[in-house]
Amino acid sequence: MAELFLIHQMRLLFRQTAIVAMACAMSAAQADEATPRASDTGYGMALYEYHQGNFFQALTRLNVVNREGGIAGHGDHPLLVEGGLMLAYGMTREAQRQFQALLDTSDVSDEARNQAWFYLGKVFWLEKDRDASTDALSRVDGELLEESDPELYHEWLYLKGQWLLGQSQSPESRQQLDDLLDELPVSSPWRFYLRYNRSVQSLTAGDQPAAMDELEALIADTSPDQDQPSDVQAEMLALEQQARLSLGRLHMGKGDFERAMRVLDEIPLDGMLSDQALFNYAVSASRQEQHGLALQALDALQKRPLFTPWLQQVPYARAFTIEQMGRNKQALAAYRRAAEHYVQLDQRLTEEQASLSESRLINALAFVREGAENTAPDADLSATGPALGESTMLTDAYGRVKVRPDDFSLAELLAGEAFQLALRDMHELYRLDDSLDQWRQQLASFEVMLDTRRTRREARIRETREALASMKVDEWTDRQEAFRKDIEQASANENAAFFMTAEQKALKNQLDRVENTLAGLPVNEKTRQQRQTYERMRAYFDWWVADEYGVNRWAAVKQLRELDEAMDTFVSQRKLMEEEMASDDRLDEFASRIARKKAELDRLDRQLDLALEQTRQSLMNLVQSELARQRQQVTSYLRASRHAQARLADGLFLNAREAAVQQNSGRPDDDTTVKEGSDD
Amino acid sequence: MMTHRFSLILSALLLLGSSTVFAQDSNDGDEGSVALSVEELKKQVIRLNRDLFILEEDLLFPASTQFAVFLSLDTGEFLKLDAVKLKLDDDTVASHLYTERQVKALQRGGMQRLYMGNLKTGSHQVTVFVEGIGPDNRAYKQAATLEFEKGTGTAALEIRIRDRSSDYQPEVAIVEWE
Repeated sequence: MAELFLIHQMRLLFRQTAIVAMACAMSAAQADEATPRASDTGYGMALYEYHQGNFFQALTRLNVVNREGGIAGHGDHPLLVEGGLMLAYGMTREAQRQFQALLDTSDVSDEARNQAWFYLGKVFWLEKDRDASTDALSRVDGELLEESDPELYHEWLYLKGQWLLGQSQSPESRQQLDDLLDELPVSSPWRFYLRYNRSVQSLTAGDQPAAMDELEALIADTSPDQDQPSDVQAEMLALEQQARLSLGRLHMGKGDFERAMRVLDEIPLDGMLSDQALFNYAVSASRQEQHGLALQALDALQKRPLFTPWLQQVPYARAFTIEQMGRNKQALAAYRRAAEHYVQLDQRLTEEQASLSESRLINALAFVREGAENTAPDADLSATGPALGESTMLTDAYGRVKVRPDDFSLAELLAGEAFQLALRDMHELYRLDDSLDQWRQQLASFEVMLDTRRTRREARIRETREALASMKVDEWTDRQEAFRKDIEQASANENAAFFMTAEQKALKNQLDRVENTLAGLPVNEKTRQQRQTYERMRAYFDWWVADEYGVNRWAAVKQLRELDEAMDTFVSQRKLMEEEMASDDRLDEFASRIARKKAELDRLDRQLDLALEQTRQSLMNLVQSELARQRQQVTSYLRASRHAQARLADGLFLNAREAAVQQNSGRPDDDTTVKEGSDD
Repeated sequence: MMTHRFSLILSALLLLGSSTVFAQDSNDGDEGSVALSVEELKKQVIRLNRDLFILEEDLLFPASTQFAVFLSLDTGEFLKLDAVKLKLDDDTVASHLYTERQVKALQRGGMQRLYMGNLKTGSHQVTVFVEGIGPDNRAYKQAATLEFEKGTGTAALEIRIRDRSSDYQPEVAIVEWE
């Protein structure tokens, strides 16, 4: 029965994880209904990755957004999503910190706080911290959770039920569990799991009739609900078969083989538990002395590929059944074939143990590529299957890789949680390694890019310097300075002539020329009048220049000021340019960031190698132990087959000798000889 | 004696599970430590990944020229999105074929960054062509255009595909993010 519980627990874990992921997604979907579109592009991108199951990319996106100022317009929802993502990505401790941080924040909505308590309880439950889980789950407001997310509410009821089952049973706890079950919809798988677990608990407590009643009721209540999604329908069907198998085995345990056969007969031959059902059916039939039926069931099993290690007992069991039917010669042959089979199997397992390596292990597993999940179970996946670390590898909601064994000796191991987790870690580590490799290439290309930018920059600097040199910038500065001094001096001397306008200067030149001409002419009436006219003109001109002095001086000073401003701008620009040309600050900053990240990458790479080695070793150890265990079993079957072979051979030999003796003494043949003859 | 041996097989079968349970329990300690280190590594790689994403953006798409186009899908009841092509100033800069998973992710509030690049300040034109299966299972194709002014800061546009309940048709619009 313990085997059943193990399978059940594993299935529970898978189921439970799938529901967690679904719940996260549903929360997101509901929030989206309230806000039709993401009001933050970074958050929108994170959701895009999240809903595709790319948890690593989604977490990276959320980290980027948080680093760049956080997510606006979505309240506490991103925190819940991030926690859910961490949980789904196997970062349970980080998820725990995230939910605790959310709960420590004062301005959190009641709904978010309620869900955070639920998820925190879930984290503790996954970490097998029963007390902390119970405490967190007891803080959840059931009504609010039912209102905000019915799926989470059902899961919460299930977890509370699990907690009650773990308690010592009392009438109160039984009543509480009944109340919880009443809250769950009849078609809910959670309800089924709880009832199944209750039967397990009854059995553990020694109350076998109660356990069997529960299983019978469970089988009777499990009817397919066409409104449910196809995967839930398939799961319910598998659960029903599991309940039938358990019930059949309990009947066997009680010695009620007839009932066991009836129950096991209901399990379809193409169902996932048909191997176990057939074998148990054979055992029951044998115990009912219905050897023909037992042999029929064992023959059906023998025709199947002996895929799971536990099916290796079939060759021996088949020979035993034939012996039970009194066909000793056939049984002897069957034991011989069984022994040969076990010898070959032992050789094979020994070779596998000796040559076990990661690549051989990986070759023995067929991984499923995304989109190929509906491939037939017997399809050859080796040609198309992805390698560990490939992003197209199909995984479940918790990152466990979907894999089928190519080698039957790994089948049972593959179903174990420890192996699944180690394989998941291995896949994740390879993915991280791949991501680091990509970044290493990217950083190398960044360096090339920076080198190119430096080269282009240097060329530009050269061009700029040449342009500045051709402009004779220093001469401009000297001339500006000389101009300033002249203006200041003329202002101090009130030199009106200095500030004359171009028109005034032209007139002055004209008047000077007239004065020179008059100076060379004889003095007579005519020149006297000319000189008087000139003096009037000169006097008017001097008055005009003196009158315009203020205006002219202001215009000159204004021009000087404008020139100063222009020169200041030019000088500061030139200074900036010089500074820019002198230092590579921006590029240096990028180069230093790249160098830092390269160092970090190298450090992480070393840690990753170490973790990969540890995980690889852990996987190898698991496989080695499994192979050793199988060898031990095969050896015991081999020994039993050989003993039976020897025993039967002896019996046949003695019977034959006895018959010969009797023949020689003239007595008729006995029954045994006739029966043995019928074997031929 | 034979019957006794067959019973032994049955007992072995029933006990097989318990030995597996014990074997599994004995591995829990190792599993825990490896899982812890893997979790720590994941955390560190995510942090490094974040820094490198930021570095990449700073280096390749400086804030003054950065230009991004996002795509979102509101419900998507009247359109099963197949493909999108994006033109920027008459050059095709992005095109994408959608998987079922990507469409579902968009329908659940996800936002795809369809294009990221650099753009000079000034006037630009962006055109998007959306293809898919529209109402009544008929092939659907629609384009939308937007003229916009790129300033000195980062610029972001969103291609918004949504259901129009007034005539049960999908609607494609390009909007600017503030």
